[in-house]
Amino acid sequence: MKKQWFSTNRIQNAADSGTVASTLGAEEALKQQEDYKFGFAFPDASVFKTGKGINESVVKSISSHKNEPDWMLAYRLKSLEAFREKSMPNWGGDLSGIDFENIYYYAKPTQDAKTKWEELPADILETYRRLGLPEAEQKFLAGVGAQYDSEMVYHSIRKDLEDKGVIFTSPEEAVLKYPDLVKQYFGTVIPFNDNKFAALNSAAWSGGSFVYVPKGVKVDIPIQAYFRINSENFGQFERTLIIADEDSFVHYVEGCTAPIYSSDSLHSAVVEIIALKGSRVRYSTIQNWSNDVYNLVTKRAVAYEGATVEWVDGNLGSKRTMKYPAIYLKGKGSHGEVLSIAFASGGQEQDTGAKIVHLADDTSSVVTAKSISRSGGISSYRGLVKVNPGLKNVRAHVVCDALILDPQSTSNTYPYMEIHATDVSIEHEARVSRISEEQLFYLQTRGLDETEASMMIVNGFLDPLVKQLPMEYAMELNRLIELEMEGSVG
Amino acid sequence: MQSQDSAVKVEKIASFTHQGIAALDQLIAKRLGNGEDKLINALRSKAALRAQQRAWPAADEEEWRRSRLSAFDFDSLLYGYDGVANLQSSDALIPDFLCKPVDPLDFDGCAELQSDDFSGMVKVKLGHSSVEYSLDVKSKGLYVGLLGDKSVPSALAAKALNILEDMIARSDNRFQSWNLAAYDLALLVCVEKNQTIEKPLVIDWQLSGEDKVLHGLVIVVLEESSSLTVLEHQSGSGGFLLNDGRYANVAANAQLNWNLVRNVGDEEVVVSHGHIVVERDARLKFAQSELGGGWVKTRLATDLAGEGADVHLEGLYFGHGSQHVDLRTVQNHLAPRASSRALYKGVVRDEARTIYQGLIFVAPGANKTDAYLNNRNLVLNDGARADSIPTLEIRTDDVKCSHGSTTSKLLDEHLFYLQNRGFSVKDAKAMLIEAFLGQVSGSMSELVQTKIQAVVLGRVEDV
Repeated sequence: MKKQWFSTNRIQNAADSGTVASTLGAEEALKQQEDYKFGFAFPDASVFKTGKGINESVVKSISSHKNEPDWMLAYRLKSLEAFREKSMPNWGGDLSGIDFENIYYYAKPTQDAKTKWEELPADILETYRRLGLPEAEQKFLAGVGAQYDSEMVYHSIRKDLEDKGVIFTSPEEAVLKYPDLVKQYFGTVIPFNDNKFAALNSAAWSGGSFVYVPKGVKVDIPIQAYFRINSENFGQFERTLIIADEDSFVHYVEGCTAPIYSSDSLHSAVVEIIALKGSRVRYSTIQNWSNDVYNLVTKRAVAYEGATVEWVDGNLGSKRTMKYPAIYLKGKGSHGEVLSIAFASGGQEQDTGAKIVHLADDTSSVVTAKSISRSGGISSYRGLVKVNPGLKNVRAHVVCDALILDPQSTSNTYPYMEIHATDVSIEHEARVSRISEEQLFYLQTRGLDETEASMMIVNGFLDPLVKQLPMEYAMELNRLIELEMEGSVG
Repeated sequence: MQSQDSAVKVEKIASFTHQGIAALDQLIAKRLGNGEDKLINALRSKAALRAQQRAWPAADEEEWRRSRLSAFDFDSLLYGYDGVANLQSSDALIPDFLCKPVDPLDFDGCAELQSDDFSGMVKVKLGHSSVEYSLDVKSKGLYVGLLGDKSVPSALAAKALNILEDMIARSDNRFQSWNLAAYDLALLVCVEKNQTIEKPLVIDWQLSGEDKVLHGLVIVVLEESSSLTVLEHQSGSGGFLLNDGRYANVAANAQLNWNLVRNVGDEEVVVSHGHIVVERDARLKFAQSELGGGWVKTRLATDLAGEGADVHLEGLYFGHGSQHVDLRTVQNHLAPRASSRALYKGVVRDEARTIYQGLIFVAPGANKTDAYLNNRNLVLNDGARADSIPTLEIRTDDVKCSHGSTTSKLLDEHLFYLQNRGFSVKDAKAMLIEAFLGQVSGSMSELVQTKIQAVVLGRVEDV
């Protein structure tokens, strides 16, 4: 039964996914185990790469390679200034290992974005094949934007979405083709000087997704993008902007896996979501960066009247993750939800959480965070619930559950509740425990060995969140967690 | 029966005119000149060095982020006193914050209390240019005195000195070190091994002084298998900074029950640090009510240092007017099989702001820890603000740790129910607020409950 989790066939047909991998022979399983973790790096064949470090000329050359208009270059340059002025956060994970001078800020893997898989370079294709992307596409995915290094190299969108006026493209293309939309919304949710890493992203951003869903359009299948880091010492600064116009719906799915490298990489994305009146946006992420990546992401959404924003956020891998998806409930009756999973293994620090700011009456929010620490890993929940003065009928509910699997590991919980209003109901609870012996014993009396029983309990612990993911992502998450649990990764 | 018959001494010394941290060395030298014990004086210098090496806590320190000091100039405050108080006899009066209700169910005034109802009574007046100190201790095994005098047996005094030395070494911010360097007097409270002190010890602080800094310090030593209840009250006004400290060691199997009621004027600034070490199978119950002070910042840390230690921390606060009340508790689980509970309940109204920051820390190896932390806030009007930060840091797996926090208004359903039963809105609100805080105040000594209730009722009258 366990062998099933060695499979690298990441996305199986939903129907047979449970059984295919279990038929693998032991040898094959072992080989795949070695392969696993997407730790296969192909020779670096990037077409253009800036030098290490960041300065005006690097920013200018990034901008000119993208043929950007002057206003975007100006934006990048003032962001660079902000990046230099901002200090490093004095809280959260230890970031002293980041050497900003030793990072490539831009690499362009192929000359142009392709529209067909066959046209992609062989090594890129091979990496994708192992990740199972073509299968994913076959499975009614609304569109696939796959990011290899910094640039959107592959793009597809279903015809019917295009017909509805849904835009799903790279932010570079959006800057050129939809400058009005970009000017109106870009950097409005997360200002260029929001924090040091958002400023760095605003200066050096490259790749990502731009999604616009017109009024009243419901995108009924998830839109997906894969992000991959491939060049050593290469920081990835993708930029995602999602605009859901009035009464629309979209579910955006992002998964990240990175190959193993010996020296540290920096991933610092910015994701902005604008959910206009009556719309609903769900953003699901599973990140499995390799264990040398600093993953410092700023994600923030604004929900207008009656809108709903949901972040589903799974964090595995990486060396340090600092990520607190935020929702600003700006419109009356808006609702925000954050579902967060963190899994910290040895040498890893998952500093994750959620930030909910209530800015209007009748707003509500729910945060559910689950974390697992093992082999000396550190997982921290860090969250904020803030209610502005004078608001009426505000409800917030935060639940944090943490499992600690061994005595070497650490679990921290830092919830901040800043309540400036009276007509509120704010609840927060957190629990930290290990797998209870009663539960283990019960499962063992049913014939499972201790490892299997532990896995089952961990899966059950995460189940409420895993259920929120699309089938293939739920499958992937389950597999990744089983791998982490077996110690075959780490 | 130990007899330190009722004693009082009033000592007046010309005001020491030097100000702030800069004058610490002079202050300490002057104390040495006034005959302070050399060892004690040397400890003051150690603490002074720590205070001088640090800046005032800044907003980038998490613990101080919500309580900015920029409005104050602590370096301009005058020290009130530079001598060493002595002990003389007098009849101590029963402090008026104590009340034994004639009928707890139908409040009808206080029954008369006798000094025999207490194991001891201490009154300390701080401020102006004098320290007044009166003492009345009548229980076998209980010793109360000042650090440096002879009223406490030397073995116990040595333990108190150890606590002082340890806390100086561990003091981690300028206020705490400052207090340990400049305390006007250090009150020692010690209970001998195997002595159960049935009746409570009363400590009554009467504070005054304008532009003064008052440094109170209490050190409690409970030897093995002893027990003691302390009822402590602070009152007074005038425009001072009270920077006080409370340190204790509760030895194996001992029990310490401490009720602190702080009800100084709304102009006063209060900074307070406490650290209590609880050893094997010992119990601590510390209940804190913060009713007064314009700007209050406190920290109470507990070390569950021995197996089976048991700690209960309770807090009650009511912020009104423009009060700023920032309370921190720390439950440090350092040994296995220990359990701790913290329950802090607060009401906030007007423009007041309250902050509660709690921490449960579980060290590696502190297996079978059972810890809980609970903070509940009631916000009565817009403009009032309650921050709640209950945190956990868990470094081992075999634990049961959780926390909860709620913040809400008075529920319409509850008000409606009481109105249905014939209560006016005003009475219903008062009743609900009283009941909300009653969970904490009700677990405090009956003798201090009436005072707390009276303050609370005074504040809910016009809600």
